[in-house]
Amino acid sequence: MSASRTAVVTGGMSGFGAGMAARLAADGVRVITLDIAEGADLAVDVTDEAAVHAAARPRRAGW
Amino acid sequence: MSEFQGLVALVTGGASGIGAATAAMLQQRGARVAVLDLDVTSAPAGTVAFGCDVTDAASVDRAVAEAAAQLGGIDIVVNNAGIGAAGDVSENDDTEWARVLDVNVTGIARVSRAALPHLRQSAHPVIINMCSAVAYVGVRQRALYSASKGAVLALTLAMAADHVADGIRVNAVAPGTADTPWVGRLLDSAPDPAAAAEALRARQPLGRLVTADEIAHTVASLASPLAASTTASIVRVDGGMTSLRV
Repeated sequence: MSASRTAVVTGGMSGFGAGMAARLAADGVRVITLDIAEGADLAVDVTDEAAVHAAARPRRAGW
Repeated sequence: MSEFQGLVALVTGGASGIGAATAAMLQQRGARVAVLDLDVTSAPAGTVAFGCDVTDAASVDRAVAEAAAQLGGIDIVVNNAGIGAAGDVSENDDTEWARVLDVNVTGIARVSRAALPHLRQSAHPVIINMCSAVAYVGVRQRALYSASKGAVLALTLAMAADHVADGIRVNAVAPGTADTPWVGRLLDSAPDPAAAAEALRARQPLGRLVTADEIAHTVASLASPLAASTTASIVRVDGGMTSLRV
């Protein structure tokens, strides 16, 4: 159903965000976590616009 | 996902339109489903159908008792049965006012009343009432129907308050204009069905009618044990009709 879809979850390493990421993954969605916490797929501080843009760039091109 | 495994759902008006889509989806996700309807010939495959008139308390009591006995209790009640009404406040006589309110409002009370003893035995009890966008916004030529759905909104909140201590969640779904046989009949009775259909679509910010499956998905989501903290919520599935001015 969701095999070809990708979700980006900010704050995806703890609390609500971790729960959302887990459920999306269980539903077959490819999940990319953005977080300042260790272990995130992309270490990004959402207050840093340049870092957010940098995180988005390869996804648009490649995936 | 097998989140509905071991659960029994009862869907009124479950043989057509939104009810049939809901019954089919719950069944597909692992619930055993009882369909209650006046005419059960087109109840979805795999569901167990019971003839029932929600305006007749004896008929409701009998159908609910049979459903609970055959399927082993009741965990989920979807109060979907409802009828439409067109016209301004002057265009339906008292008999029609009584009939529509009897089906759309008192019908919910009858079915819920009969199901409550079974819900109290359930580990994951929930009731979902079918509300409507017209509970939120004034729409022309829907005076009686809107009155009935406004009552469903208030009744949902009151039922949620009454039964929260028993752990029974009560929620509602408020669809915009849906692509169902019910709306089809409404269009057929319009002087210019094509123009009426276009007007209905134009009223939806998404530019199309809501589908029965989209409403069923929201009902299933509210019915899921995974939504254990969601009660007294009325979820709009209306393509933005009641919230957007675009």
